[in-house]
Amino acid sequence: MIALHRFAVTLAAALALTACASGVETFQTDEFLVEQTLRGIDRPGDSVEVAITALRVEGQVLRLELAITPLFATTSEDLELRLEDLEPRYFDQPVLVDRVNLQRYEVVGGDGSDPYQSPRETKTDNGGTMRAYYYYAAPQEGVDVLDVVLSDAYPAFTDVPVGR
Amino acid sequence: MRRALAGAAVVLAVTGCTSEPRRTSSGAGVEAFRPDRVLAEQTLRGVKEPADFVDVAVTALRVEGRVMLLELAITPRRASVPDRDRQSLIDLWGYVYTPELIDRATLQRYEMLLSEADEYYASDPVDTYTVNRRPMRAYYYFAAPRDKPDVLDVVLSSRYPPLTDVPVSR
Repeated sequence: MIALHRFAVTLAAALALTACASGVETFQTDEFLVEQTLRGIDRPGDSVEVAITALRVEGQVLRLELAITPLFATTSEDLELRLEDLEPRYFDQPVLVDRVNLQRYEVVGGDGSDPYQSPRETKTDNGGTMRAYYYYAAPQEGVDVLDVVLSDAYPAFTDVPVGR
Repeated sequence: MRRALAGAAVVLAVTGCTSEPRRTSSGAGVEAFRPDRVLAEQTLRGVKEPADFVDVAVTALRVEGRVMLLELAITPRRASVPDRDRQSLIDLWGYVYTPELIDRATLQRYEMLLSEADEYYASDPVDTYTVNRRPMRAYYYFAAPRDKPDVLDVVLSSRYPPLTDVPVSR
């Protein structure tokens, strides 16, 4: 009984610590800035729903977060799909464009090191939603909106507000 | 961009079309591409494959701040290519495509904008693709003209006759 009591106290302390310092990343797919459904150009039966759930400056970097839902025409019920299976461009290194200042932002890293983005093995079930993140250099103050280009073959997201 | 979108909305209202630019409460949107709004067009025929055709339409020639956008709708109709096969810009032209704009009144020639890193501000030649009979959007950016011309000639390729007197919108 005494031991149990001590355990409870320890647990309470741990919870209190968690509450004030560390935490677990939350991913909300129902709140998004903009979304579109991309139908495969050469695979019209396969679509991907893409929503931008965050475009936010965090110190020196800018985080882009997407909610990606592949909807593939298939007879298999337990199809798993990875980012690298998807069009456009395997969701690798989207580009941000500042059309006012004519600036282009690419994913940080890549020169010898891995790009600072979700691994290409990130996966979900067909019809499930996965999160993908990408980091860029933070734009200067005054840049309020950016275009998000996944691929030149598909429509860009325009005027996406930059949160700070 | 706001002005361009407002312009698009007016056109949609006039034509009675129900598809509106998709906007959300965040203010963000999705690029609208209207391959049916044609300012000028040309059908190019394959030199080696005479049953291959490519329709090229100018869908926008518009000043946006310091730059000018040339937007094309490119629709391949190539008998030599299976309908399901992907066709990129580089597949169609065989080289990195660099259209030019000519102001015949002032004898000015506008070339595509190039970044400090030697990248054209234009559609990626490999990453921009389509299939037969599906219009593909291709964009090319130029410096905004200082002389404010009302019309420009669009030279798609030195191999084909230019499109003349294409109206410039602002």
